[in-house]
Amino acid sequence: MPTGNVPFSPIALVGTIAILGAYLAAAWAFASGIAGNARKSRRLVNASVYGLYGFSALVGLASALMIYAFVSHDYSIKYVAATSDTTMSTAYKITSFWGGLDGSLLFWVLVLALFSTVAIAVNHKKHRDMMGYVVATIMAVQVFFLSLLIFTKNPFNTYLTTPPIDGQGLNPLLQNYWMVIHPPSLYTGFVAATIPFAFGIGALASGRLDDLWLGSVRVWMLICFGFLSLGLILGGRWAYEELGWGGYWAWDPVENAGLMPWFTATAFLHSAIIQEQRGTMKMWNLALVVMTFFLTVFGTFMTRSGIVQSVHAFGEDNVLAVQFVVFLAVILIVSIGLIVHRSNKLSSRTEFDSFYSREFAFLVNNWILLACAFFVLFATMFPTISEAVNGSRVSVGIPFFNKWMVPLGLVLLFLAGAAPLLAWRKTTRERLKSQFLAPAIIAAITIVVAVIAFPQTKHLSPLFVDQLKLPVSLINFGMIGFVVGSIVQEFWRGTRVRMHQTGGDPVSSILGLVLNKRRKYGGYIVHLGVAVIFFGIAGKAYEQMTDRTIEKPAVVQAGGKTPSGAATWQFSGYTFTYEALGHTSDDHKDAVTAQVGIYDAKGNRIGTEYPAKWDFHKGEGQMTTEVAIRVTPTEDIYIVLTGFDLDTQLANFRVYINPLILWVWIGFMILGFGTLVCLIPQRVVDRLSWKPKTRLGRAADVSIVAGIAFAVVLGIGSQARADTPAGNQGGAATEHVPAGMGMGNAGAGYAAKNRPANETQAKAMKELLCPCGCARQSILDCDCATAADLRAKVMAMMAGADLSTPAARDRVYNSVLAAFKSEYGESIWSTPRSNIPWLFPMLAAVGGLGLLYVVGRRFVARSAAATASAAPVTKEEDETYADKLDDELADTD
Amino acid sequence: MSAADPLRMVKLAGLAIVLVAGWLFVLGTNHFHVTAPVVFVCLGYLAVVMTVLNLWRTGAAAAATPDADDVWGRPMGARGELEKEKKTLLKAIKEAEFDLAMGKLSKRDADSLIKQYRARAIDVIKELDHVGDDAALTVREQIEREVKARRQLAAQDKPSKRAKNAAAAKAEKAAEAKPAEPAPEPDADKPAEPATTEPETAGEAR
Repeated sequence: MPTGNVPFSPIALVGTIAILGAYLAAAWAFASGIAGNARKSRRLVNASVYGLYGFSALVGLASALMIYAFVSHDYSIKYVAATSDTTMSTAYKITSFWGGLDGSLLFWVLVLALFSTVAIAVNHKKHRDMMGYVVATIMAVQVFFLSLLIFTKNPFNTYLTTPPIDGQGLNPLLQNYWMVIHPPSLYTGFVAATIPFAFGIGALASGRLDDLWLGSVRVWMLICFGFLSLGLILGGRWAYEELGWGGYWAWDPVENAGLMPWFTATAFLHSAIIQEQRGTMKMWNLALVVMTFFLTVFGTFMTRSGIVQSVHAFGEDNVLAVQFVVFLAVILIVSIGLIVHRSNKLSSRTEFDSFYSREFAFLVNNWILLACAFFVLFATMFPTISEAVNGSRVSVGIPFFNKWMVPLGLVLLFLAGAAPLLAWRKTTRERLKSQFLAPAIIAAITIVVAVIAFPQTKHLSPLFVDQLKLPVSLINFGMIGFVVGSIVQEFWRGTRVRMHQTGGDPVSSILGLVLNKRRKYGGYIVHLGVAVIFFGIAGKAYEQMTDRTIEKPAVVQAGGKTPSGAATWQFSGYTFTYEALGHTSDDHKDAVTAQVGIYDAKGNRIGTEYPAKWDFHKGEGQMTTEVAIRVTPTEDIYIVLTGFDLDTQLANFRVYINPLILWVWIGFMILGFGTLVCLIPQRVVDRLSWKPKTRLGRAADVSIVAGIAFAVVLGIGSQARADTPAGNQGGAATEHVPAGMGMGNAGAGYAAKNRPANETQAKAMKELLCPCGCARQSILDCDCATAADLRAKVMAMMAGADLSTPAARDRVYNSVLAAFKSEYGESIWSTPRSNIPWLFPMLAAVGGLGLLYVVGRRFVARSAAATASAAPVTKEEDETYADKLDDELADTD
Repeated sequence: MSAADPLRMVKLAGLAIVLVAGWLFVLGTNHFHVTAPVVFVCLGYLAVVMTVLNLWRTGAAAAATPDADDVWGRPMGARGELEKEKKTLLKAIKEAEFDLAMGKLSKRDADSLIKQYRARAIDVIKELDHVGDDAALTVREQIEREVKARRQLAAQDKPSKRAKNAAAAKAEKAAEAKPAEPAPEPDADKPAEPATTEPETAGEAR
């Protein structure tokens, strides 16, 4: 009920009070946790735990009120008015909760509150001695985010004058199935990194640095890894279906923000095993936990401060930037300070018996993963760094990232196959041969088959620098064969060993093997998933694309042969026919949908696709691209309606043929399944084992569990798909739409305009980024008017130039790039020309490799010295105790 | 927070009644028509109830009288540490045997590793036998062992002076309360030295 002219929203009032109450509860829980642990007061620690629960309930209340405001259309609240409207479906109204900056911060607080409630409830008794510090750490993080909400970005702010009758609606790009689940999963991954960090700080502050802490942290880091993986792949799927550029990963800063902590979390999951096995690398593991959390906050900072430019970013906010910088500094100071303070307890004498050991393979894996994380961080921040140093923003585009990340990825892929073949401590030369033989043969066969069946795989690609070119595709396929061979060998041999040990059948043996060694074999499944993802990624190198402008749709004879004529075109062995263009309209949007028939090489009609453009009424003129994708195991046919004219029925299409891309999604599902296997609790395994059933019965139990886990993963992948265009098939327009809608000039689509006539033009266009703010596409790929104009400019600059020799072509190419740089600045280049972005990673890589070798040699030398000085075990075993030991071993699985 | 609270079920029932009553009221005012706003009002009500409950509990916990039996940290004691080490050694032996069967380790390396682990495992089992359980120890021995374990913990954590004095005073009081026992045989009954808190040998490997 408005008082005077100022609107009054009880929801906003109660919501703001809830946030303020949560702030006070967090402060109380923080203080009581610190005091309780410092004074060893059980009651104060209990008070802090209940304070955390109370805080979580208050945040839950604020979130429930926020969503209630969305679903009840309370547009007196600015955030609700800015991100939703009455025509949206309920699902998207709920999605709007995290659709904007303010709500996304509250969503972050909510997810962390839920996670921390579960983590504290589960671990309260096990980690009594440090629970106060753990609660205090979590509450400190929450206090920071709540202070952003209270003092800067309160989502419950109301209008001071008459509120709008209806909202502005959610950004059309976010009205997509994948966007419903991508942000929650990515935020969950980010937030999950806070729990291990809190336990790490708790362990450091309390001095309880035994392995008990590590076990709990490892589980939460695995959850963090799982959700980060899910969030990253869903984001890729969204980009693939919604942005219409045929790809799924553009090394966008927001994408990189989720990838960096994924690298460090993965590194931790491996090095934690070394700590459990050998009792070493404690400081390293704690540093990784801190680094993972730091990178999640840093990623949040990047996307909300405006220091990087991204199509996904929330925009620029200098006040927020300063607050985040201070918080990041506090994290580093406190963490490093505690690690230094406890360094005497953390230091351990790391010894490796051999370079050919699993420990050393894990160490190399860690260094490569860290190298990946720091390279991505460096390259993402380079435009900001260059601007700060010399005033000009130097861009780094996809080619620069790929030149470094591809070789690093191949090394990681090799390690994913090699490490499982190595033994702990030492693998002798004979053992190396027997372990590596079969996978190496499979790798060789894969390469031979690829060369014979797919000669294009011999193509050379640059690595690190343009001058170093290798057949990357062949190497990639070879590595995939090696990894698959390695994993299959591990399962095969492990099953045979188990069958021999237990006398069981193959099915129950393999299930028992996986369940009893689920961290190892779950990890192997994850490695297999990674190999399959690399298989999918390999197809990107063979992507084909064409643009077509069709004046009028064809009339298709039912059951007729492959059509021909002006409305058809052939591409990559398929025939495409433009058959219809229709318009539909509802309360929410206008949709223009084309109908395209697809025929195979034999003339059989294999499908009908409906690419579309949607114009949301509240979308501020921003049309969304609704691509049509025909998915097969070998390739996707990806059709984009890039332009149209409803009056003349002219249509522009861009068609991509994306080989192997389905395997990226399949690979993720395998990776997700492997992660779930690793997370199966021991009590579930015990419950499956204790019943005196037949082996078949036990195998059935286990299969049910495995089936449920796989169904969860499969369900995410299979249920989700792009919203189908609301197309009517056959041009029955229900409402007149102004001519030229979606196109600047009637009769010509931008994507098809000014296509390069030769390779030099294409190379130059590929090197220049489109300044329209799209997903970091080059002017060759972007389908906007600006890109079309810039392509014309490139062609004009090269008109009449001598391109007969390689030297001449290079000269013309460089002069075009220099001309663009002088007009638009260095940010127009997708690959930096200065030496610094190349020099720094190169020096770091060489230095890192050298350091790794030196450190590895020292570890191995220490072990050799220790072995030489240690007295050999010579005494005979006491028979009584040996029997006791054998009895206990018989009960150990 | 104690699970042994006799009124626990009564409190839980009361909480459930308050929740259900509130939800029924919300649904009733909406004629039992379940819509999205109704769902979130119900969730909001749940949040309010949990807020009140936990804010009450936090205040009650802060104001509670410390329970005499509710010690800060129950020391694991010698037995717990040894059991943990034994478990990790058993798993390490099984892992080495598995790696040998898988062909990753040579017979010589595997035998050498397993021999080392077995030797240590046998030592641990011997120590466990000497540690024994509480019933076998006299009251004085139990108190002495408890005090020793607490002092070890205290030494790690640098407790406040007050906590230290309180722990020592408690131990002395308990010792004075029990009648003196005859001095035990030094070999058979002396508690074993606790194991180190950070075993160097291989841990759990799956």
